[in-house]
Order: sequence, then C-alpha cells, then structure tokens
Amino acid sequence: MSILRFLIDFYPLIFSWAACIVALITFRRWMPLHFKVLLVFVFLYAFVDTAGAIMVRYYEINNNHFLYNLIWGVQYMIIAYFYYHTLQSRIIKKIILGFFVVFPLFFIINAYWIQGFYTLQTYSIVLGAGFMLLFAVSYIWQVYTSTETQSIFRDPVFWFSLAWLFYYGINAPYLGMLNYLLNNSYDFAFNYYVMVIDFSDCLRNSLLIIGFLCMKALMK
Amino acid sequence: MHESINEVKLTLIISTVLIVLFGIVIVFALLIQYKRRFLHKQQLAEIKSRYEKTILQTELKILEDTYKSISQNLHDNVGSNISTAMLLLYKDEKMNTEEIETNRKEALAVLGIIVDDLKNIARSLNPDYLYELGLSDAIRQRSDQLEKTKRYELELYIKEAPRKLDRQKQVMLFSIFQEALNNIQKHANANKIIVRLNYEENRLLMQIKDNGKGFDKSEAGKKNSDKGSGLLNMKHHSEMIGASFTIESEIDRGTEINITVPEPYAYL
Repeated sequence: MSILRFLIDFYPLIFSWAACIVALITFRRWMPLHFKVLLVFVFLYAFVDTAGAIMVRYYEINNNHFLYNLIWGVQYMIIAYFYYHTLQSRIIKKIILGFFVVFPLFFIINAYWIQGFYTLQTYSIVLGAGFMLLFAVSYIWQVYTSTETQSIFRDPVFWFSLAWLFYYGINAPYLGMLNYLLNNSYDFAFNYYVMVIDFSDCLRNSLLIIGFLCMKALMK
Repeated sequence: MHESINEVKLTLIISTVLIVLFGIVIVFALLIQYKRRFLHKQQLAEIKSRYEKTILQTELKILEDTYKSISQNLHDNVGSNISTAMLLLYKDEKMNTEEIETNRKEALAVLGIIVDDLKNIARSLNPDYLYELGLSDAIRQRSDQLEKTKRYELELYIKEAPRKLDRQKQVMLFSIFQEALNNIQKHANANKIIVRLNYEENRLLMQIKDNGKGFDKSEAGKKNSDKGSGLLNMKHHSEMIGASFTIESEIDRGTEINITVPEPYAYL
C-alpha cells in the first residue's frame, strides 16, 4: 500500500491522533475531573477508532459494530458528565441526571432484546446523539445569553460544543438509517460514509483540537 | 422499493444539509452577538471615561473657584481685619487704661474672627474638603463667604441629610450651586439669594433663587454666551447624576433653579 493510498484511507485517523496528542499535551493533574475524563476519552477513542479500522482493513472483520456500540455508549455518558459540570441551567442538569439513568437502561435493553450487541445499535445511537445535540445547543445558548464580554473564541467548551453539534448533527441521521442503507443501498452508504461522515469526523477532531489549544492558552 | 430508498437518501441528504446550515447560523448568530457585546463594552468604557473626565474637570473647577474665593476672602476680610486689629492694639499716649483695655478686648475679638477665617481657608485648601465637610456644610460655608461681601442678603434653608451622599453627587451638586452663585454675581444684579436644600425620603431638592433682573430663557439658550454655557454646564452635571434640572426666569422677576435628585443614596 502506497503512502498516498494509506493517507486517503486513514486520513480521519490522523485527525483523531492529532486530537489525542493535543489532549495529552493539555492534560494537567490539577484540572477539574470532567476535563480530565474528556481528555482521557479522546485518547481512548483514537485507540478504538484505529482498532476498528485495522479490523476491517487488515483482518477483514467486517462487523466491528460491537466496538462502536460500546465506545459510543461510553462517549455519551462522558459528554453528558462533562456538560453536567459546564451547563448552568438547572433543568438541563436534571435532564442530564435523567439521561444517566435512562440511557444505560435503554442501551442494555436494546443490546439484549431489540437490536443485539453485534448489530449497530442505531436506536441507542440516535437517542444518545439527540441528547448530545440538546446539551451542545444548550451550552451555545448559555454563551449567547451570557452577559460576559470575554471572547467566545477563547472558550474551549464553545469549540467542543460546536464540534459535537456538527458531528452528531451529521452522524445521527446517517447512523439512524445505516442498517437500512447497508441492506438496501450499500454503495450509497459507503460513499456517504467516505465523503460526509469521515469529513465530519475530521471536522469534530479539528474543533476539539482548537478547544484543547484554548484550554492550554487559558492555563497560562 | 426503489422509490422508498430514494426517499431515505433524500431525507438523509436534506437533514444533513439542514443541520450543517443550522450550525452555521448558530455560529453567525454568536458572532453577531459577540460583536454587539464587544461594542457595548467599548461604549460603556467610553462613557465611563468621559464621566470620570467630567468629574475631574468639575473638581478642578470647584478648586479654582475655591482659590478665587480664598483670595477674595484674604483680601477683603482677613486683610482688613488684621489692619483693624493692628489699629486697635496701637497704644496712643493720650489713651487711658480703660480705653486701652477696651481696644485690647475688641482686637482679641477681631483676632478670633481672623483665626476662624483662616481655619476655614485651611480647610477649603484640602482637596477632599467637600466630601469631608458634606454638601450642606460646604453650601453653608460658601454662602457665609458670599454674605461677608455685604452685597447680598442670603437666606439658607437646609434640612440635614441623614447620611452622606456619594462623592460624585456631592461634587456635581456643589458645582451646580457654585455655577448658580457665579451667574448671580456676574449677571443677575440681585441683592437677595434664597438657597434651599431639602432631603426627603427618596429625593433631594436643591433650589437657588434670586431677585435679580432675570433673563429671557430662549435668548440665553441661543447665544454662545458665558451665561448660556453656564446653564448648559448645570444641566449637563444634573443629567450626569440622573437629576432633573429646571430653570424659571422672567425679565425683572428673578431666576429660580430647581434640581431634583431621585434616589440620592443610590450609587452611580
């Protein structure tokens, strides 16, 4: 495999590892726990994403969905925990507490009785993504209505929220329909994945990198 | 079946486009809001800086007026009183003991007045004297000085304030009072001045009235005269502390200035 082919195939992973490296550089022991958990998760996600890609490319294991079911479930819980400590609205905080109970229950029920663990859990993914969009929009609304005059472009959480807004906004409809598309229009699903979903992955990681760099600047 | 899959594809594409557009709109809305907030912050900083500049200018003006009044006081009162005391203490060979003793007592009384005057002068030389003295006492002291010129009959009605006003309000109100007195001295040709300072529960009223020749308000506003700029200054200073300023005047029927400060103890 030529280097060019490798880059074309794995370019989203490059962004993923770039985000991971910046997250590790930003990590400080004295940081609030919700930031530390997020940074560690970015590192973990890069590993899982790479493992998923290697499984498909080199071992021809086409069904790596169980891996993504797991990591997406964890991802939702970590982002919800992060927003629990960042958002000020009491209502949203209560919704997050409800999410901590409802989502794992739904995830388990879906894994055991509805879609199964080895099929992509589109229901859980769409439900979780809906909540993530709600939290991201809530944070952006909080920034919009805030009276503080500090630049929003120096606020790491603003960049994180933007990253998740675009990422889940683009991914939720696709992943929600993915099982159907794979069975009925595989080529469209594949091309859409390569052109749109991979791009959204890169966009998310780029915005996360900007957020981490803002965090680093703030710490100075 | 084929139509159904096409609908799904279309829904997916449209929803993705809509969400991306929504995200972009949000970013633009935030940008506009941020810019607006930044401009607002800048405007506030400008207003604050202008306000502080005016306060400083007003304090300097008060200081300048105070120095003028001190100079006048030293010349008219202290100087003449010292001369009087010197004359009284002069011993003429023709004077008997009783006369010398009477003169000595009178000289002591005059010296007492001089000491009081000098104390007042020393106090007014302190840049914080207005705040330390309080508005009521500063008005009393300035009125006393004016009364000593014997050109005016002064009536002062002051209902004491339960506590001190904040510095800016005192500076502005005192400057309005000084400006009004200056106008009376320069233009009014009056011989009677009435000053009222009334503290009420939620407002402070200050009134300065004279029996001078009065003026045509519309003319005073049109001309770029000393009196016109003085009136504008008073109005401007009132606005700066959120007070209302009204002036009533008629030819040959005197002038009345009323300033009402709502919530006088609220901080600016």
